Amino acid sequence: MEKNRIILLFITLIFVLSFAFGVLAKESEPPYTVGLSNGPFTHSWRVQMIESIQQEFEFYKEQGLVDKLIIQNAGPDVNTQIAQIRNLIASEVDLLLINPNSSTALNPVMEEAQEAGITVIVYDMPIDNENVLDNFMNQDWWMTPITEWFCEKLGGKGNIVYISGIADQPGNIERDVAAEKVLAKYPDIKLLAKANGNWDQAAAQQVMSDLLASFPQIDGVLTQDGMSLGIIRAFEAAGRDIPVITGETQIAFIKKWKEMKDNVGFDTIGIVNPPGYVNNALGIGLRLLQGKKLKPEVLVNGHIIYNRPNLIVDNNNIDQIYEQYKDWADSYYVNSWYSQEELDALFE
Amino acid sequence: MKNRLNWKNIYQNPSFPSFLILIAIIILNASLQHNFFTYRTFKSNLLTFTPLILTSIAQGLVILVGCVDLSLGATVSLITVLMASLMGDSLLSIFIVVLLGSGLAILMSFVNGFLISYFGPPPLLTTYATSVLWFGIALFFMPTPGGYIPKSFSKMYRSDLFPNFPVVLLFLIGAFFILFFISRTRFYKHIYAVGGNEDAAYANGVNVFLTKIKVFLLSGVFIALASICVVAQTATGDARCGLSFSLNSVAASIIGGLSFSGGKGSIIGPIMGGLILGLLINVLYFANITSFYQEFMKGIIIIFSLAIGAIPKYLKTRSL
Repeated sequence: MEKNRIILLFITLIFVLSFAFGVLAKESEPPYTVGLSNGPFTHSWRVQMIESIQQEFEFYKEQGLVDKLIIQNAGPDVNTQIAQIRNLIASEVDLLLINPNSSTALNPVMEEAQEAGITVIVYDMPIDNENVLDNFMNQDWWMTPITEWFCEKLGGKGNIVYISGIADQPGNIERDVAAEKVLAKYPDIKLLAKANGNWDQAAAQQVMSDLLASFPQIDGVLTQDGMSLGIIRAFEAAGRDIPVITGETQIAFIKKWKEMKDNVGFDTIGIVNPPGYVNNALGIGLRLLQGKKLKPEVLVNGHIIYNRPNLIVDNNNIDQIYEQYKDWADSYYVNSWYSQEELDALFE
Repeated sequence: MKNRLNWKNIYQNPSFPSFLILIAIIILNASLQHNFFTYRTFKSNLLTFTPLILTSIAQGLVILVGCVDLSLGATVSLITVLMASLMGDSLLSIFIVVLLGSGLAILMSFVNGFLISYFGPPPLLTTYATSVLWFGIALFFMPTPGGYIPKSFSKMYRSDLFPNFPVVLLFLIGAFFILFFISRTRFYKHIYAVGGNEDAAYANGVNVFLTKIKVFLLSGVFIALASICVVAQTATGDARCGLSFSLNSVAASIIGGLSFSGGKGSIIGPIMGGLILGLLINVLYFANITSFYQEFMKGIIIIFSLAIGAIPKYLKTRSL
């Protein structure tokens, strides 16, 4: 049949072309190709994360260690992320960094990558796969110093409320546990109420306004990422004095903090949960590719490498941090990542 | 085919634009990806595309009869949740759970079909309502992704039956076989009759109610096959993992030349549409175009295929 013959011709042509391409393209060893599979790209934290790795990648490039960085954003869909990871495998990347859309659904495709000889590191999120390295913030190490600072600032007594993040989110549950553990050491601190502000400025402000209406005496507000500014606004709107409030490191809050410190002597604490920590995973991956061995004590449960916050903002360094970030967009974060020395310390 | 191929018949076929796009996108992908025609790439593409192709067939059948199924994705999700909750390590339990999941998929599709053809509400609203219902049930049983799928099951899915023949190909061959068989029955003609003009079909003695129910049952079979693929390739139950299939399968059907009013186009269309959407991700990837433009490009291709599809009609009206 005429049509079939034409199609056959087409297919043969494509075959010949592609084999020609295949012979021309060759893969080299020492400069590594790095693939990054990200999920949604709608939050500033993710945007800044991509900018961070692009910046740090130049550093490794100058050393001749890497040559190409391929970044893929899948959006919230797991199936798209799987398809993109398969493409990264087909591109023969040496190192694959994944910010997963699901804690379980990428397991088979990560196995495919490992079978293709690719070093896979998941970052930012915990996953259920003991065969894949997982690099993320230890929420206990993050929340405990904040809560300790808070309790000491209160002098160990007073009425407080706790504005927590998204209720069922695993990271949030760990933070709640860490906070409760510290609070238990201070029997004179009375927890009036706990509410969920969903790590959202507007939601936190709403929740705080409701609490302000119910409780005439609030000496302190314990909170986490992305909500301090909303809580301060709720106090301002109610015309109440600002009590002890734990801070954060989003630029909008840093600006408010600096202004309030200069005007009314406001004091708080902010611990980074920085987008730049993607570079910790990058640094670890490149060292593994070079054949370095992780110290056994670094690995928890055989596959988790916890990040430790390496920058704490308080009234001692807020002026300097403010100067550094005052021209940045409000939605960005104070950024940092492990130095080469900090990364080397993870290895034997 | 009856007689010699007629050029006019080819280009006036509603699936013709998608055929052109498919050829173009294959050439584009092959020229951008140097290892496109290796067995490894073939298999990995097949693994990625199969769920989308199967859901597109399921959607295409429903669209052919003049309905639409927006609950398709939620059905897939709920089946993955069910399978991941019940599956054990033994081969027997895998077999039973896969059967159970398939049965539920067909049952859920039947519920859609029954509601639509018995009570007669707009399919769009009905299936939107059931999609929320299925999603709610899935979330109730599994608020966060989890459950257990034995490694052997997902390994089986992406292994080779014999050298250079991936297991996943069986799903497609099975699907083609079912379609081939169906296309030779009177029921297949009834689908077009009901989709084209329900009243006329009824007046000519076609059982509209039964035809719609049968289409939804058949669609359920393909949803079941797709769910098995999704659960095997994600090895998890996830109330959200199927949601994107609802609209992507509709997009694939439209790219494939099906008409929303039903009764027009070939079931080959959605298959090509699904392939196009799958290959699109590859092309954008290997062309180094950032993945943000994926949705944008999908829109362009849909508009493009609708426009090409309109050209023959335009030429016809001009020549009158």
